[in-house]
Amino acid sequence: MSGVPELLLLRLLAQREMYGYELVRSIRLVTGEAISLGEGVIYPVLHGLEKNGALKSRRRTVDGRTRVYYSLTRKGRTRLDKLTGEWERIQGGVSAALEVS
Amino acid sequence: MSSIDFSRFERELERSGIAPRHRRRTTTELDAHCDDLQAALREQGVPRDEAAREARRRLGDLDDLAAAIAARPELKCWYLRWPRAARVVYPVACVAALPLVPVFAGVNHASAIARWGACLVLSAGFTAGLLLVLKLSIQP
Repeated sequence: MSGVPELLLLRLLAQREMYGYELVRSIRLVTGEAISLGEGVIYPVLHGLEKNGALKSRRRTVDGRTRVYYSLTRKGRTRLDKLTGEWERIQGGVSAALEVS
Repeated sequence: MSSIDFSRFERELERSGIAPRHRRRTTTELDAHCDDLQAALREQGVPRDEAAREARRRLGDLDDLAAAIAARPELKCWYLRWPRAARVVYPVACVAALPLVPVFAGVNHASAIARWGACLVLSAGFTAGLLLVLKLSIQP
């Protein structure tokens, strides 16, 4: 369960590059506010993923404001596939357990 | 710029050994994020002060955030990630840098050294000239 923020961030960044605030807003929209993070928490996750080579970043100046945009690397896509597989396995296990009970 | 004071947050990250590059970047991104939050809330008609408070709340507790960052070893300074290597590299680097110390000292005090050199040359020239005059005056 601790990998959920990482999975969500990688999944969103697989579609297009985004900056931090945009990512948080997208998580709220896509999950229907089912998942709500302390918004500052995504930054250590993003920096950790970048440090591990799953993301790359670049600075862009838009409307006079400089933002750091993140995008997925090939290593990040591999990580995303792995986390997606793990999540589906967990989801299947939980669903099976709920059916039994 | 948001109204949040990140100085204590930065000190906590520094104390935890987080690399300067990650400290600066995190603070910059959090500040911009808070700005974006406030701007979005003001667009919804929230008064300025309330928007600032709500943005601060949604950003999360800075102490908790500092702890979350400190828990990530990949963001720490290299000498904390590889302490054994640091214990070997630092002494070797200090010994290797010793011959460069006079060069750096010279660069930092170039004008003073130039004046000192000029005084040396002038005084040596004056002394040589004086000795020559004495020698010529003594000769029969």
